[in-house]
Amino acid sequence: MGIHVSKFNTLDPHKAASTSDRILADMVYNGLIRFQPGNSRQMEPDLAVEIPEPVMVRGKQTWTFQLKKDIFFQKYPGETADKLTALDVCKSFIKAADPERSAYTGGYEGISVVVTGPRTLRFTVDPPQSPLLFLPKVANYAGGFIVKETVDERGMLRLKGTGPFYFINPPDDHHLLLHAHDDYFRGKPLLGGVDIHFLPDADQRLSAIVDNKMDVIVGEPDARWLHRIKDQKDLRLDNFGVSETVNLYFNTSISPFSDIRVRKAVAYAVDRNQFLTPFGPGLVYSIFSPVPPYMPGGLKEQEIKTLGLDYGTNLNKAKQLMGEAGVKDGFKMDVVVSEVGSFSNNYRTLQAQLATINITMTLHLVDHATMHRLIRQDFNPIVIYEAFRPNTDEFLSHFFHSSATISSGKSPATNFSHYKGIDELIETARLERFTSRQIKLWEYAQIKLLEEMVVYPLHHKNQIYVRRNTVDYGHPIVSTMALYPQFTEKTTIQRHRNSLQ
Amino acid sequence: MKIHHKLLGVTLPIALIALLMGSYVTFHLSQQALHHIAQRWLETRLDEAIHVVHQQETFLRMYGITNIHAGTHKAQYDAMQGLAAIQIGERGYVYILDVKGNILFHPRPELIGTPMGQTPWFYRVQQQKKGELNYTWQGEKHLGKFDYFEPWGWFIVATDPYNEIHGSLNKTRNYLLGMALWGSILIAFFIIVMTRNIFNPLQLLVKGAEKVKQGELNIQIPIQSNDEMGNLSRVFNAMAQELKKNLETLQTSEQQLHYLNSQLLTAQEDERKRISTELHDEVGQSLTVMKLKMIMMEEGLATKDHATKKECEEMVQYIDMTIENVRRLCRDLTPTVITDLGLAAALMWLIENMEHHFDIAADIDLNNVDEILSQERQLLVYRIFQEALSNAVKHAKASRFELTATQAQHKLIFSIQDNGKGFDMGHVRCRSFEERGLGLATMQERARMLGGNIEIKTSPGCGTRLQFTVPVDKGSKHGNL
Repeated sequence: MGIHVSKFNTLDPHKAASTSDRILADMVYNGLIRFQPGNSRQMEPDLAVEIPEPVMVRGKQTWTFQLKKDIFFQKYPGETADKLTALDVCKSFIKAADPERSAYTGGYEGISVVVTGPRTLRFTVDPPQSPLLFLPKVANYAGGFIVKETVDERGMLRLKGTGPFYFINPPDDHHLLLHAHDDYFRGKPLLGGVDIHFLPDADQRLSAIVDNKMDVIVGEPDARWLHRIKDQKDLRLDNFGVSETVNLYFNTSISPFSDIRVRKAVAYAVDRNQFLTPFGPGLVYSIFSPVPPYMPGGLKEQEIKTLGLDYGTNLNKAKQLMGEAGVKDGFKMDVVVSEVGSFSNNYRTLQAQLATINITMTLHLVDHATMHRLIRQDFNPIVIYEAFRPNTDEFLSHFFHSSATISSGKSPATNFSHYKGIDELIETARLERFTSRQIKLWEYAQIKLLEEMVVYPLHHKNQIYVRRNTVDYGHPIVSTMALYPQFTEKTTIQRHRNSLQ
Repeated sequence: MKIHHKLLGVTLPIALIALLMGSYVTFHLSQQALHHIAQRWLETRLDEAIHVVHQQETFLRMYGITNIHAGTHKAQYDAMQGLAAIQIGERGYVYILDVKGNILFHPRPELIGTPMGQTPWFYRVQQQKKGELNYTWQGEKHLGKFDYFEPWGWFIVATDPYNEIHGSLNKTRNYLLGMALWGSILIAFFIIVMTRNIFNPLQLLVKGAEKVKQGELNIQIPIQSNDEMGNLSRVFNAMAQELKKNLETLQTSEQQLHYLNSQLLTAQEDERKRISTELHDEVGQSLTVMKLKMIMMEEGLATKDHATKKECEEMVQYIDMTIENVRRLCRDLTPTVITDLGLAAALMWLIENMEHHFDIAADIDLNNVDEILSQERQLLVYRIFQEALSNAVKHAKASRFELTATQAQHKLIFSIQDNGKGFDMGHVRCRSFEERGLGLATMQERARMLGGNIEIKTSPGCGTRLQFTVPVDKGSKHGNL
């Protein structure tokens, strides 16, 4: 499999934020429950026997999970396989809630977990949360992955999972080799393993699969690149959800974007339609609110336009606002840009549009992991970020709650805007037990974000993958939270080429 | 017009009117009911609309987000979306006017912004703030309920066109009319069938009565039911049977009576003939002998015995007169002139004889009668004329007669017309047999013996015409008697 980055950011699923990190986490780890492979709209039990219903105990919401029998962690050479216990699960969630060991601690505030038996554990959620909010936190996503921390023979920390594949050695500069987990509780994988190659160059990835060196590659959302796939009869393009939301975040804590007039000037200078051009038709769709319309709380174009928050392109108004802000002649800024094509495309489009109001933006191309690291160090006054979050609360919390502010937040995540104006709305919505009110509060939160131009929504884009016709993922693909087609114990390759199979 | 037609003529319009009235009342009451339902319905929709708007406005305050400028627009937008989702039938809807009457929201986006402030009904909306509207919009009558939402200065109107409110009823109206029409047809059919069923036995009875009237007494009406009509048919059949028996008895009696009458009249004629013969042969001869002896006795008397001679002469005269009376009596008893000279001569003799006693005149036209009728029948005709003339002279004081006999095909028509004072036939018929006398009855009986019947046309002051017909066998010289 050829992926679009030159290395992983992390091998720890609780810190996985980029697409490549999430791909790896999906193959190695499980959750108590999981999004159905290929269909993220359906949830089903994973390590747990069933999805429980919440029960109120002494005024507090509790969720009790029972683990399936005979689930084993992956074993390294010379080791015996450890059986999964409720204590392992409990420890994993404690890790997920620990800011030192997880990037998703914010999601576990107010949640405590205790072991009530060898295979049972109980979560206490105070204040109570709706299933819509709580269940993704125990699913196979972000902090919900069950991880066992062990120490290897060299005294190094080693993370083990219960998933169908695992790695023995860490990745080198070129690839990471995953082996099949023979004791996988759903059955021994049909694939012998997965060899993940780092091929950030889209043309190189395409050549690799055309030359039959790869079975699956991450696609490039570029119209010209995709056009070349059409003539390849042995290849198949998969275009599926979940869509990643692409927004433009202003750092409101520093000048010049601490001035709302400058932010609005940029908004009026930007034409979101031009961001679609490089991707070609059918892959990306404009959005008008930070949360895409297909998610609860997402606002539709018509509604945003009715409210006058669409910031339709108006250069005169943009220039006027720049003048009012005292930066009529513009200014200069530097940004880091990922090697990943969709990022670089978006930044280049933005660069051109900002130039119309005399803003000079210098792009510094870096590898994807570096970009992730640097933007979390406030390198970019404007961040274009592609992300998927399983629910609106997580989305808003991660991107706009003050506790998630990069570098300074209590649980730093992806609040690149340093914004704290909707903390109360996010928290109130989180506690709201009526879904309709919860959604409405999310909507108002976004309206405030747009009114204050903290974020400029660009588009959401589907996942694009290319596979050889011989690859059968073992499930239909509608949408996947793992941001790749998902390799499971059922995935097969009909024509044996890879020696690992 | 037959009874069942009359019955149809009466019941059908009543049924039709009743059905139409029923349909109209149903329609009218349904229309009222629908109006009330529509009012309640619009009220509930309006309440729902107000609730939707209020909910959105409250939400802003409840969560303290009134500081978001676009938040109010968002709440209003959401409220409008909520109002758009409120369904009022298929054509009803909720819309919003601002305080100036401009449409802020309407399910038809092209109408948003339309000024309604100048419409006559908006003034009422402005004044009343809450109430009911009957108004015309784009040429269509609407029913509306409105309320004022003060926080946003919105007049919220829930409305529905009357066409829809009454739409189902209008469909029902056609249905009701159709039902009334078909109901009328069915009722008519039902009444026709029923009346036919009811009056069929009656018609049979009428036909039966007609046949009874025509003398057909063997009629038996079929008994189709056990109800009153069945009983009536049963009684009718029994009555017809009884009538038949009585008629047969009567006919037998009549035949016997006619027989006796004819025998009596024949016997009377025979007796008259015998008496006449006795008078002529015995009394007449004796008187003649007596006269001859008286003459001889007179001639034997001395001349001087004038007184006795005179007595003898007077006796002879008296005997002559007696002889003459006997002869006249004989002729009266048996008009031998019929035998000798025929009916016409006999009748002329009778008239001449009556002219001696009464001041009368008569025209007689009885040609060829003698050739056609036998002497026995001529005698019967003679007796009828004799009685008629006698009655005309004695009772009608007639002075002029006209006797005719007309020969038609196979019959002779005799008539006698007088110029007497006439009489009231009905009055005479009302009299008892004793008061009427035997004259007419005897004439009738003789006419019947001739095979005919007497017809009398008379009235007071207009004379009397008596006519009777005597059948004549074709080709025979004399008719049968």
